[in-house]
Amino acid sequence: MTQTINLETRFTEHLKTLENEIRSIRENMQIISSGKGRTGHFNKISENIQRMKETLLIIKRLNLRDEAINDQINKKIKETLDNAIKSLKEKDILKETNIPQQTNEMRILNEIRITNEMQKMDEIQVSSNDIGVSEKKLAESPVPEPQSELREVI
Amino acid sequence: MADTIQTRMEKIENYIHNLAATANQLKAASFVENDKMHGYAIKQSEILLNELDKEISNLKRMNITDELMEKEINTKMILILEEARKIVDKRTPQQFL
Repeated sequence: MTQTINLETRFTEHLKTLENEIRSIRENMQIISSGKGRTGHFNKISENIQRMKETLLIIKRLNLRDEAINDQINKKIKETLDNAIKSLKEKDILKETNIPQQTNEMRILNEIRITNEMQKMDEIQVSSNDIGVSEKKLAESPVPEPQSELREVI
Repeated sequence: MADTIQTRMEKIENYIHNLAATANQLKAASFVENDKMHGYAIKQSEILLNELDKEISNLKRMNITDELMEKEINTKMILILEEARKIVDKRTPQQFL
């Protein structure tokens, strides 16, 4: 999982780097001022200064203003949403335990209602079919042909 | 008026630049064994290092979000919340379950 380090933390980290470089320069300066300085100490100071310049460039690239605004907005949105959820939970509107129960109850009620309605519809359809079809059948059905034995007799 | 982050950063940049020049002076003074120049460069670099420490401490204490930004944040928050309300208004109670 990727973790976003917020701007303030990154900013403080870079400032700490600058402080560490300053401490290192001080140590080397003390050695040089005591007369024990060698080329290595001067080189170390140059390296420290170079790193400080690079850190400063990184801080400049942080785009402090925009990132700080976004950080604050995200923080405030989170707070607002947390408060909204908290207040909904307090009012029993969004109680996690209630959601499945409500859904189940509603589903069962709906099923009962639908079954009842379907039964009613079936009953109505069956009775109308009985009447309609029997009348229609009588009207449309051809007069049965007399059976062959009977025909012979006739 | 108090310094902004940008002003402090510019100061730090300036100090680092001067420190680099002083370090070169110190190196030169050491090689030619010029004690006066050596002493001056040491003193100068101490001053610069102190100033750098001071500015970094000030930056650490500074709140990145200043008052002006706070206003901008609030305006943006209102816009975001209005958009959120529009989305919520369009939903039926069933959609929240």
